[in-house]
Amino acid sequence: MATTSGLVQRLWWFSIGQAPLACVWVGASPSSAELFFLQIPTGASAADVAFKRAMLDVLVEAQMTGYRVEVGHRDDSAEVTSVTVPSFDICPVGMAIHDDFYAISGAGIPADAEIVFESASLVVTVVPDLVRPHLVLVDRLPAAVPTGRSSVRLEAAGWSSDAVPVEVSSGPATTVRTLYSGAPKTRPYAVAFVANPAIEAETGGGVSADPVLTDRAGFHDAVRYSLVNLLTQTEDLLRQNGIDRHIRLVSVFNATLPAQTANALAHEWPPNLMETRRDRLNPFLGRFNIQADYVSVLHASTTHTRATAWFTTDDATQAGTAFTYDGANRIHGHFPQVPGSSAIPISVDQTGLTALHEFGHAGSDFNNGQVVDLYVDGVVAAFPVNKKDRAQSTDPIPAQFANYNGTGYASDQNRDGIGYDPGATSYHPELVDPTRPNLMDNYWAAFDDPLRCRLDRLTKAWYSDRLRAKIFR
Amino acid sequence: MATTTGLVQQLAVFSGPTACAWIGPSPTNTELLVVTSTGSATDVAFAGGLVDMLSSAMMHRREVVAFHGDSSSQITSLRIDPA
Repeated sequence: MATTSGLVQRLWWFSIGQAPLACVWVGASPSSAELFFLQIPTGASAADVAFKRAMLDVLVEAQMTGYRVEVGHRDDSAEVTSVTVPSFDICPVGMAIHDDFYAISGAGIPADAEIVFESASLVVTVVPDLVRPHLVLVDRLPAAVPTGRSSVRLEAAGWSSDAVPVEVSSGPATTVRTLYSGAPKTRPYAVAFVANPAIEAETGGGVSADPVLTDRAGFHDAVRYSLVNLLTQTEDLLRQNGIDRHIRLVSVFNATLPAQTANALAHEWPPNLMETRRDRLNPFLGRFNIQADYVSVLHASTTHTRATAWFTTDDATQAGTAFTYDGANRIHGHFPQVPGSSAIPISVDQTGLTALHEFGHAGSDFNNGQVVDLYVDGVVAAFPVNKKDRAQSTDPIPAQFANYNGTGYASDQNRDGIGYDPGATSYHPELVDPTRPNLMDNYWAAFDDPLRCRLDRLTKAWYSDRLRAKIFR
Repeated sequence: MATTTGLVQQLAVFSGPTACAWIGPSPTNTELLVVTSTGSATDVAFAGGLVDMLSSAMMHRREVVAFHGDSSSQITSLRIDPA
């Protein structure tokens, strides 16, 4: 059995008597191509007819799009017995559209990789906004990339990927965009970024259109910031051991949605906070066939700009991974009943860890472990993972904070260098980096760069297990 | 019923008749699913349609949702959602 690879240079579909026949020329160029044929003989079975027709369709599509094919044939025959469209070593995700997100997946992508579009007349290099070993992302494909047929590849110092044929268009940008499809299985762990269609007023339930729907560029920029925050900062919770290559990422921007209650995913909370309406998230996303574990609701309110998050409610009827905390048995639920969520303004200060901090809340669970703010004294949650109380502020902070799955975790005696407030009764677990505030504390108080703040050791261990339980469900 | 969602990374059509589709987020992270048919004319036409959709999705970079049995790799239906 032999295989001939190349581009489909020419196709000719005609009939000899009652027997349809396709001649196809495959090779590197029109003047360097081999001739093959696909024949549907009289009396062929319905199955054979269908699959030969399917092979022809693949060849037509490959010719139209410039994809390379591998034609299988017997050593002594030009009759096509198989058609394969082989993979490239990278994979553009979705269509290439000006001003829309553009992502390319792969493996082992260098940190300095750039995206190179090459057409007949022009080479345009685009610097990605996010680079991970499995993914590069541009928040808005620039108009400098010429429309029409191009090839796209990734390049870095001493490295280049395959070149993939693409068709670049000027628009319109998509409504639902898969940025990365995640693990190839039923219900991969999924993160959705949603442009909030409507804002519910503080009181009275009145609803008004969210200005974010008129600021697509701002929304894209906020998604970019969020992904960079979640996946590339010093705190590696969401990328340790490359677990982010299993996480599905989607974006929803639908400017046509009316300002009505069902579309009001964000609610003003006095004096200047915005919360999500978590009970509306599943029905809203369900319209787009999206099931998410975490939803980032991005809005453009100018009056209620403090970000907040609501915890996940794990689905207790589905599988979970057991753990013990201070001797009590608890569960990391594999699936959400209600996804964790955050409301973040697109005007968010991008010099801080807001996106990662809010995920820190949202990814935890109402019933089996809440990760709470550490800049607020006192414990109100039923089971906070990362904060405990003393009876009085003058009581010594215990040496051991908690026991998680049989391992003892120490307390932070100094509150990350900030110091516990006079009169405060709360105390926290020992930090991963004792020189900077906890990610869940006032990270703005870092002596150098808030983006370098980390979690504490206990929460890091607990959360790592929780994410693994969900991502590998 | 299980689903596999992703980009079609590689597609092979044989005159078996069989088609193999590797679906996933990247070329090195895929699930192998198959399309076969030896049944009625309708069944055969359905299978041909699946292959057409897979090939078009692959070369136009569209994500597919492939449905198959929990312990089977045979594609029973295919969905391409609005972009």
